[in-house]
Amino acid sequence: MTPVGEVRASSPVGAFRTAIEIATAVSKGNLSAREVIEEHLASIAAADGEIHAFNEVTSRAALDDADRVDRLVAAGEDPGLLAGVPVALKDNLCTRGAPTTCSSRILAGWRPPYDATVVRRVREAGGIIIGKTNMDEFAMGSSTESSAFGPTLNPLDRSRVPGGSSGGSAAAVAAGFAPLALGSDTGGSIRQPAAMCGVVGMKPTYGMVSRYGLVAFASSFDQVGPFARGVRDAAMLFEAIAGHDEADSTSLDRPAPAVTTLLGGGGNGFRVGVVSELVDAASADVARRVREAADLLASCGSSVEEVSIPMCVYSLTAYYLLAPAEASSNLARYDGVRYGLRVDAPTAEQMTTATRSEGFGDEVKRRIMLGTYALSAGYYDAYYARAQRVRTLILEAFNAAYERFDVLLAPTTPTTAFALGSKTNDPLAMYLSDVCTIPSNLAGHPAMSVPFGVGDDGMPVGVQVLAPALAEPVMFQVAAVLEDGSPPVGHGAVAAERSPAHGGTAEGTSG
Amino acid sequence: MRFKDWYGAAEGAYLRLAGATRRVVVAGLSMGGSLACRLAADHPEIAGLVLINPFIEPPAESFREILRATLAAGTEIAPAVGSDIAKPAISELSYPGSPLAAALSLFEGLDDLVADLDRISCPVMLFSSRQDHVVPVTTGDFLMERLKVPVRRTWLEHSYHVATLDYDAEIIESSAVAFAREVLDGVAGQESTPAARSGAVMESHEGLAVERSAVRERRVEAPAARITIEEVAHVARLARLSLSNSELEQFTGQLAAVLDHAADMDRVDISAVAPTSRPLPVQNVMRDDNPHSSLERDEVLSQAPRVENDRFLVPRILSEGQ
Repeated sequence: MTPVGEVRASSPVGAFRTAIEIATAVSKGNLSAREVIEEHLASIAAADGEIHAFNEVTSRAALDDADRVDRLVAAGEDPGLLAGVPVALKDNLCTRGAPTTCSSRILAGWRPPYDATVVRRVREAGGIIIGKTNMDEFAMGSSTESSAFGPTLNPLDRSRVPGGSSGGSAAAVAAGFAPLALGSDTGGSIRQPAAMCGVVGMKPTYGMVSRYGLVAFASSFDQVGPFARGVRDAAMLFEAIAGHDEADSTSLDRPAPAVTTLLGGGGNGFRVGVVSELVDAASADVARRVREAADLLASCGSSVEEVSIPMCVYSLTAYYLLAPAEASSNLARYDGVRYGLRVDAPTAEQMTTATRSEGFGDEVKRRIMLGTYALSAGYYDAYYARAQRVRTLILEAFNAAYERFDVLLAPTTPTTAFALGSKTNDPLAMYLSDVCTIPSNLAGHPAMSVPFGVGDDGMPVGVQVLAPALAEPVMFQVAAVLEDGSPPVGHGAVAAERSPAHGGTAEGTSG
Repeated sequence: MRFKDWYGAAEGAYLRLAGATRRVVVAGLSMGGSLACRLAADHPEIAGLVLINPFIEPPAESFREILRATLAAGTEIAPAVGSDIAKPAISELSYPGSPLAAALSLFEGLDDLVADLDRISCPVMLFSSRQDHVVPVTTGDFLMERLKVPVRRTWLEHSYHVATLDYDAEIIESSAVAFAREVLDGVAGQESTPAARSGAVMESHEGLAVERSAVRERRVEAPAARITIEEVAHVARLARLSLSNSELEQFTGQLAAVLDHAADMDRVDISAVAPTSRPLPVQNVMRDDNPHSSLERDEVLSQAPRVENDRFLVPRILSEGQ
């Protein structure tokens, strides 16, 4: 793991603190938010030139926000749950006045006139936005290679992808650039890169977190969720952003569930099902880790059984018709009139066509085409309408499984992180890397990826915990048991966090 | 390496095996299928032939001219063909490149083989993947038209070219073993009418369907026609995208692959199923009818490409003469 060593050696001591440690120390006045931000900016400056986790580092605003938090603490006021904690934002979350590009040429330089609800909530909780992270263009991709601004490299092995589409957020957390990040998950875009970078990534129940200010990809799938180096940190960020928002018509009318208080340690008596079809879709080393995770849960007092959900095999197909169909409609707004790129042409229609043809990359064009075709006269019934009905059957199949099980266990990804460039010319092969994460998006259910040991190549493996709608509390409890019993992840960031007195950081400074 | 070298190696292996046993069934995948056919044409004593996505139909002269020109221009190695496998996480051991001179020699070997296909006298079992990105799917039809012997054809619904490493590997293995037993017992050669041929095809369809019996399924109907380049051009116009010819060609192939994969869904019985447009029930929500501030006009307009008098400025909507 030489690359991790390099990252760690060049990172200041504080860059691998947990979010909980930072928030606790800052609210007590034992650590200044400014110092925290300065340490993380130094880490970014040292290593992000190569990793390219960020499209934009908002240094000045972050330092101003840190000073504001420090003033609140000095004045004896409550700075909030995330006091002084740096948070990296996927570049499809609107930040007022700061560039929000979706890693697309068509939005390059756009400064939104409003903040996304999750951004506002992070700030209100005392969290500090440190930058905007790279992603697959408009979140369409599984490797962060479709970014118009170049790929992000996996901090653990720079010849590999970090996964995607929220690859920049996952890499930022793994590299110690920020203890927390937000991403969006439409078909696995939080969980898949979390697994490949050896961090925790979580997709909430559809409607649990506001989508207001998240640039839309596929509106019936998109959810915003947290990345962290540990389950408890992820739970804290989830609590900060979840809950009803009247600005999102699909927002659930309920408060955020309390999860952090449940994670004291140990969890017993869960009914756990291991989804055979998803385990079968994975390589042998990844499948072995999932079985070890199941054994761990059994040894901690849960009942564990294999469960077959044959409808799973149709998830990928249904998703790759429905999501592009929604995308083709959502991306119709990029017409060169109100924001973003315009390529001049004599008539409005020619201008729109020229703008879109120059502004969108190949993968985005491909999905718009696929979606437009699936929705077009003559094919609607064969593709879109059929996929919507298959979606119903998948949802019913999972709901039936949850009558017998509290949570389901599966791999997050079929393989560990793959080599840069290895799938860019074969869209179908790229799409297949989402096969284990898509079912939860079709069903609208929560799911999260927890690092659990490494594969044969030494790269981290993610085990996925799937739960029924609104069952985030039990999902986090199971995830915490997995985290506490995980085999070594061989990953500097996580190892550092686990060791009680930051044992790992000493080696960082000596290097 | 040239065709006669490959064939020499294959024939040597066959002769050694034939010297050690009484009857031989030859099996081959892809170019191995070409060599297996050549062996069966030259050795009428071969008892049966198992072909998996064989490469039979010789490429057009125009394509060979391109290869010759590329070769003449100094490029000797083309990008490799390998690992065309649907199953994730499986890859085929293959050479990093394809030598062009060897490919041209293979095509000449195919020219000779096609002329001799009618000499094959043993029963043939043919496996064809519905999606094959290496050998054209039409090559199986091409072969069946030219063979004078009964062919039992099985469609592989879940595999790409390298089907022996793919989802249908077990089906290929068990069917091939059963076929070999039959031909060695001397029963397989009797299904020679076209009706019996199609009977064999239907049978293997059902065999595949059984693999997924836990899901509500129905028989696969004729595969939907593949998307054409004209349709892709039409869709591009609907989506306000202008694509170059090479983009159109590339997208046509890629969209066809995704849509072929989507044909999977045809197996699911959806006749009594309601569509889902959102995963969780959503009710209409009414907010209180109170005035509140909206986005700052100047801030919004500052992000527009062209503005005039506090309005978005666009080129004219109608072209000349409209």
